Amino acid sequence: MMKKAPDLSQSRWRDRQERFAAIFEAYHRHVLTYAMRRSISGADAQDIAALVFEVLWQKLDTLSSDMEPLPWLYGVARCCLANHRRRLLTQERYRGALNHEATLREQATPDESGDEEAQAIRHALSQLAPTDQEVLRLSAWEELSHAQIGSALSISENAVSIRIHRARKRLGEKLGDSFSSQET
Amino acid sequence: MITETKLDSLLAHSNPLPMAPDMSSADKSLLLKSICDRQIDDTDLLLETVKLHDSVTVEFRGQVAVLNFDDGNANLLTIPVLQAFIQAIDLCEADSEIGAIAIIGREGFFSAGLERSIFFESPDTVNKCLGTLAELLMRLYESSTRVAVACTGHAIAAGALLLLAADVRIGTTGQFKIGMNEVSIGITLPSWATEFARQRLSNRAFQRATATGHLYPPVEAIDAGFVDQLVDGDVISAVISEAQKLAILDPISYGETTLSSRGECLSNMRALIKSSGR
Repeated sequence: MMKKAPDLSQSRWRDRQERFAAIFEAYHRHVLTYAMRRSISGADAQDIAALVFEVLWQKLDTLSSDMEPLPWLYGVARCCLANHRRRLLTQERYRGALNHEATLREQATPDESGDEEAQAIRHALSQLAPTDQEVLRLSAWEELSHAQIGSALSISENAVSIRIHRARKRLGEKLGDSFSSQET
Repeated sequence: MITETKLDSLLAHSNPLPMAPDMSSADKSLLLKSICDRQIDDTDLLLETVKLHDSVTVEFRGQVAVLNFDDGNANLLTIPVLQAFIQAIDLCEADSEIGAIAIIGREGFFSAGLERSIFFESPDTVNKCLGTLAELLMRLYESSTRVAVACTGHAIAAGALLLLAADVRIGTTGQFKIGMNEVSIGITLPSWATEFARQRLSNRAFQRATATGHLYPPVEAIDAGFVDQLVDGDVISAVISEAQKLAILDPISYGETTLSSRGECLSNMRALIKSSGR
């Protein structure tokens, strides 16, 4: 499970920069990992993580002191990744690529790390609707609670529970019998 | 079937990267300093804008695409403008992050409808224009991307039809006119447009709104079915806020529900377009 979040509430810090530095220190690596897990190359992931913290620097005063930073940072990272993919698509269009959607999917295809089982699961995951993929990833990879996922996606905790339940069901259908036979 | 526990364990196992390697302390300090040196201003670092036509731009704001329609005049719909709207829908549907589109007119004019001069062109041009309008309305109505509209002023003829294609329509108070005035200026409403209006307008308003070309003030346009609500102040913020709510709806539930509630109307429209040739 994810380790207990440090206390980053506003009152603890002498000034804005100190509060920002504490959040940066605690979560920069998490945001970088989030981007890299979504098939962004190392250099682009570094740029995205930097942009996420630029947004935090700009909006720090508008964030309530009791708000958990990490789900908020993941929400911003998601927007940055979407913009990154849009720019890639635009470049592809200029190059005359015919199938933009295929390009998008290719960009989103997970890498080849892990064993065959892990790759098969990621393949099945990539066939789900993007919203289904994201709730499952936030839950299983980023280890967020339903409330935290709700905060990252701007939906209620109850909606997260329903979406995860349905997404699991759809993933189970994609995986079919190939994994149920291995159950112990 | 695989149990939920087993699925969770498989998903955790599929994680391609337990944790990214940490940056060196020197690199981290440099990055931290460069961010903190940045001046704090109102620049929206997450905003991406695409210009599709001189009068049509799309801004991507998180899960919402904001289509701004402003020709500096009466916001007339020409074939290139209609095609730019369709291109905007294409962009949104191809973008897995976008859940809703907010269509915003210019202050005082949402849209005065099709450019009148088009009706003096050749029958082929008229047919092409009406065909493109029908395609746009049906694309909006059946799109997986949810649609919110800010009716920022007058919405007349095809401008009023655009309102009917949206999930949520927010108007503004003022001395504006909303409705389909085709008959009152001697133009027969295409049969597919009548069919579309039949589904969205209230039964009580349908005949007056279509057969007599009556134009409604905003407050009466709610009862007729052209808009859902009016706001006194900032209609644009109200619509973007509504679009944000639409964007987070479950897309599968939305798609299945709209298919059952709109599918028959869309089939009828297609059949009418096919039989009338436009």
